[in-house]
Amino acid sequence: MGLRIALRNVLRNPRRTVLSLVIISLGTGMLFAVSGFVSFITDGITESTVEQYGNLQIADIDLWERADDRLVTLMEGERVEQVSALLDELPDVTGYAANLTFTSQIQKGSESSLLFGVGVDPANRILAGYEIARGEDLKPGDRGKIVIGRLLADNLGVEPGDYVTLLIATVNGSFNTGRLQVAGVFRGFEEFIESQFAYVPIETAQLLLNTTGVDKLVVSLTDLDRTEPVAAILRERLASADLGVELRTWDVLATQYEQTVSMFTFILGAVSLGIFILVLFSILEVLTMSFLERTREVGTLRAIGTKRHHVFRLFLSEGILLGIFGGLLGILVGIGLGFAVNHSGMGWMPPGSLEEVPILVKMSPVSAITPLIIAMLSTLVSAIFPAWHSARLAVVDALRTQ
Amino acid sequence: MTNEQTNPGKDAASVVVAATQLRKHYQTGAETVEALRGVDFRAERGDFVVIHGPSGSGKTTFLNMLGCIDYPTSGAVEIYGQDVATLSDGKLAELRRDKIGLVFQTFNLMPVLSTYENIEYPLLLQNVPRPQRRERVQKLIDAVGLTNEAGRRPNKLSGGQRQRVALARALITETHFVLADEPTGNLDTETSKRIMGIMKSLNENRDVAFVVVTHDPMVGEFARRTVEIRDGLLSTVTQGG
Repeated sequence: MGLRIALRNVLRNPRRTVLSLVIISLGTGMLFAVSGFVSFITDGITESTVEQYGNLQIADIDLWERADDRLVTLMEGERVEQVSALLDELPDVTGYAANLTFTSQIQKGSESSLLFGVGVDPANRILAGYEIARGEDLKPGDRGKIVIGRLLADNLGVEPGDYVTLLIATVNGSFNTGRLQVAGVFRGFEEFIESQFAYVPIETAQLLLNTTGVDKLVVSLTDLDRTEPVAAILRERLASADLGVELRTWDVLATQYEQTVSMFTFILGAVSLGIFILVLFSILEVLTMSFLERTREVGTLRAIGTKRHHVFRLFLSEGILLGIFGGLLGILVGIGLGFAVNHSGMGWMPPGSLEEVPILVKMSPVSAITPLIIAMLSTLVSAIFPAWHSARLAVVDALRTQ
Repeated sequence: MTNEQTNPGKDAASVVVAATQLRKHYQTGAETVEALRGVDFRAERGDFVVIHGPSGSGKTTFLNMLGCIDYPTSGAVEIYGQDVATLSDGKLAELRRDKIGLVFQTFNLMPVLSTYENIEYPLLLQNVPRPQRRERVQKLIDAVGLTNEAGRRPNKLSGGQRQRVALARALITETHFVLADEPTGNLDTETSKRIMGIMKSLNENRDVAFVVVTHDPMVGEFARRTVEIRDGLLSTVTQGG
């Protein structure tokens, strides 16, 4: 009966109820849309980070600690084979590939630039990392070829088919040069990648560095969610095998990832708090008015034997019901907003990005949970004080109220 | 002047309400208003007491004390021998729920509930099982002649019908003690007589004690006792039928 009375009380003043529902549903809808947008952004960042780093990487135990002298920490063939054997045992591992990264100077005529090079196996590419804009990608069997970032190509004035010279320090500390043909120019989405990165076949990188080693194995898994469980198993097995290697997961490798995601989470938190406060105070005012107008009814209820906590619960239920209805309506509003945004063609330019990224709202049942909770919590909290006040009224005073 | 108002001939066990030296003072600015100045009163099963008096004489204040919805400045109220001053707010609510029926001049029905639901409400507070609730509510609805109005909300009922709902709500817990504050105050003469007739019938047939505060001289015709309250004191008694 309590809920029935609460429901009827909610519906007894349609104008006020509509006003409350509009406030709650707009707040919830906005939150749903913002939450969906943040979800889309963070998912995108996660996806591109995993594309860049793989799910996890395995390297010599000193590799990441000795950034100044990485070439002394390469893994030679036997260790690579032993690690590979352990990876082959795991059904969650969909692929792995050796990488060899290096820094060098790249020259074309009188133009030169600093280069971050990555030696990859063209026959076993588990990371995309870029899209070819001009020319073609590295192919299995390619030797002496290179693909470079679009901005780097523009700066050096090179096109596919041209030759560039790499000036590089070998693992022994002597200098080496290599003349490589530009197979293609890639689009890397980030200015930093396009202006300083290049990819060569791993054999070419080894030749340039005068080594047979690799600096890491990049591993991809069936599912992002499997990263931690697989990492835990592998860490244990690698430790047992005493191979002197370390495993790092993608989120640890991408040092900016946590910061970026935290920033978006903070923004979402701030928006949620703002909407919570907005709904709280708006509904507080509405409910206070509504409860005040019913002071005499409270007096009657109390006079005929209703206990204070029943009155409190009754009025609280009204707040909760408003929250549920407003929240559900808000999700519909949010879906509408999301649909409109997703079809508007709007875009934005992330920091460091070279191309506009579309603004999209990810709409999933999970995105609805937080806005719904915020809607219900804010109306519940806003009902507490007026409900408590009504329940505490002296019966005789409440009955005297006109 | 104070005097003890009793209905002689009944034993102490049948006393439904007893007030002893009830005083109620209100502070209005620097002035203290004495609404009740030491009132003694008793009502027993089967009593039908009508309290009348001029406006501001303390009638409603007195009734509120008997109904445990207001507290005296001093003095004691006992309901079925229980000193209400010793009860917590929750226990007082239970006492009002189980032992006292209240009828108001302005009916005070819940506007969002139907006739049936308004009458049923006290039984819900008592956690009476649904089948028993249905039986008792239906019986009482029939008794007060509202069978065809069971599903209607108060705003669709006439004043007389609303007061009959209020009366049924007061009686649904099978209490034997009903307090009515100007129950005919908002009704025409014919309807007033009908309401009072129902109350009288319940008084005679079910031994329900009624204490009725009124301005309406017609109500006095139904009383077994008539009490006058003036300047915060009970002053005269008329023993009736």
